[in-house]
Amino acid sequence: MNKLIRAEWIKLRSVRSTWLLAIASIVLGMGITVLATASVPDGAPTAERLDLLLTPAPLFVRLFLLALGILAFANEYRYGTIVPTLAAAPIRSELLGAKIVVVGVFGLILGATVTLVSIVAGVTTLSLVGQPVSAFAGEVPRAVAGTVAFYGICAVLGVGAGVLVRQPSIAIGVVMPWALFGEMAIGSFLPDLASYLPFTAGEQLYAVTTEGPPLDPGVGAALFLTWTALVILAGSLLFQRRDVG
Amino acid sequence: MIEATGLSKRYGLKVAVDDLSFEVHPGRVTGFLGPNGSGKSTTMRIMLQMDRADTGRTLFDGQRYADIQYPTQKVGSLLEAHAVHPKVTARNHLRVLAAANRIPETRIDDVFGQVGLTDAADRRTGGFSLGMFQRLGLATALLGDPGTLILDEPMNGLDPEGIHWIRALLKRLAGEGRTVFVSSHLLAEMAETVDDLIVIGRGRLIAQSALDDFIGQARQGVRVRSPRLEELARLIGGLGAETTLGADGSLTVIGAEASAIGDVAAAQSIPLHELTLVSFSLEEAFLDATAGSGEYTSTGDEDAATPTEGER
Repeated sequence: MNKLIRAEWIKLRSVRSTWLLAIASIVLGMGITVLATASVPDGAPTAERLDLLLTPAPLFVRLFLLALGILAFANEYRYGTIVPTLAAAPIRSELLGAKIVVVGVFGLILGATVTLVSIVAGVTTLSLVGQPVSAFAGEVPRAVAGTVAFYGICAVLGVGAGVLVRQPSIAIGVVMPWALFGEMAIGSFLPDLASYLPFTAGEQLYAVTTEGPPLDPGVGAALFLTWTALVILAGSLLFQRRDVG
Repeated sequence: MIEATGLSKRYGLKVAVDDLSFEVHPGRVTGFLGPNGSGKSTTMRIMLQMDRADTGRTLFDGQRYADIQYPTQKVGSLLEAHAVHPKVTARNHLRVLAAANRIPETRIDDVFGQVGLTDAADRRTGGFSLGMFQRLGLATALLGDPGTLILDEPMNGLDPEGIHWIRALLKRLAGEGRTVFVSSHLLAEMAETVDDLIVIGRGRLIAQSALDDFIGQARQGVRVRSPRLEELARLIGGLGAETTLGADGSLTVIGAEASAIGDVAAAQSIPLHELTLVSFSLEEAFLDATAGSGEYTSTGDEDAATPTEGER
């Protein structure tokens, strides 16, 4: 398995899309956080300031992490590289495992970078507009760690979607709208159900609003992980059975 | 040594590979021949466990492919030449595959040298020509210095010089004691290269033999020209031989010795303008053996019996 992790890491870093997505994540995360914190209303309570600091970036940056994971698998099918890849790694569970490890770890590192840059930019902006917050106050450290975990899980979920669907365009076309507003739309009809859906549950990892969050962060994380595991499991079962040709 | 036993594969109602068994021996180039759509690529994917066989198994020196610890160090394969990310350099493509099977990176420059891609090694593959893709595919197959090679239509897209080169390469690899299994739908491009033949049609084994035996089994005939051809044809028919009148005004006789034909003609004082032994070319023997077994075999025009429809 180590050899496959090494191979997948070389593969991930030798395609340009990895770095384009990484740069886009950092720039977008920082930009959105600056915009959100700059528009904080005068005299907003601390909870609202923290909310603007922590939650806008992951809402959009998740799309890039998902895309990273999706492309890591689905592009193998798009470009036919799955054939030489499987020739070198015929035990498919090992290949899937190596991709999850590499994309997951990369997602965590990228997520940590995005979060660090976003928080620094956001805290600076809040100071400039005269409504400072402390980046070490209250639940902020927990929410920051939760954001990083959220990004990592998004990347792994993307791998699952990629192996499940195989065509990058379809996988992205389904997962992105779902992650961005699909659950929100369901939530407007069925709010009780929505809090158990993957991304809404996962958002509890970094939520700081005290106005009765639907789920405890730990429960939300566990649900998000469970959804991710289910997608991976479904993808894995199909991957084991499916022909390449 | 490759031993394939009872391989079968169907897609829905369509039988792609039908109880196919064969052996491929080291030190020889074995041609895997059949018309397009006859199941060659499917067979190769099944052998490497990329596609699931409904029945049967393939052993490489006694091991199934997925059980080999570093498979590309034992079995090198080229199934799809285009299987490269267009934005990745040829070198990085091979670095990934080398790492996956603990192949030292020094092999990468070795194989680029072997296939003549050294100058293009650090270029992105997006701009490669079909011939360059084939060479990169061969480099991939050779990367692990494997004792067995499985190559699907490696001559596709190569220019005559490239075909000449690959023939020499295949012979050299077999000469080094490797097992070389190479598919083609064109016997002509293989005739000078292969030692053994495995011929399939509609997924079934049609012939497995040494090349010389395959040609030997092919029917021989006699070409006859005469101003009194029709009369002669009738007389030869009386010998129990099969006669075919060609478009060029010659008569092809199968099943009668040239001497017997000459005697018959002499007995009736029929002048002979030509009496030639003809052995059917390898291509004709191949077409004869696989007649009606191609998926796209045309009806009516016999010259079009070698389909050009691409195999997926």
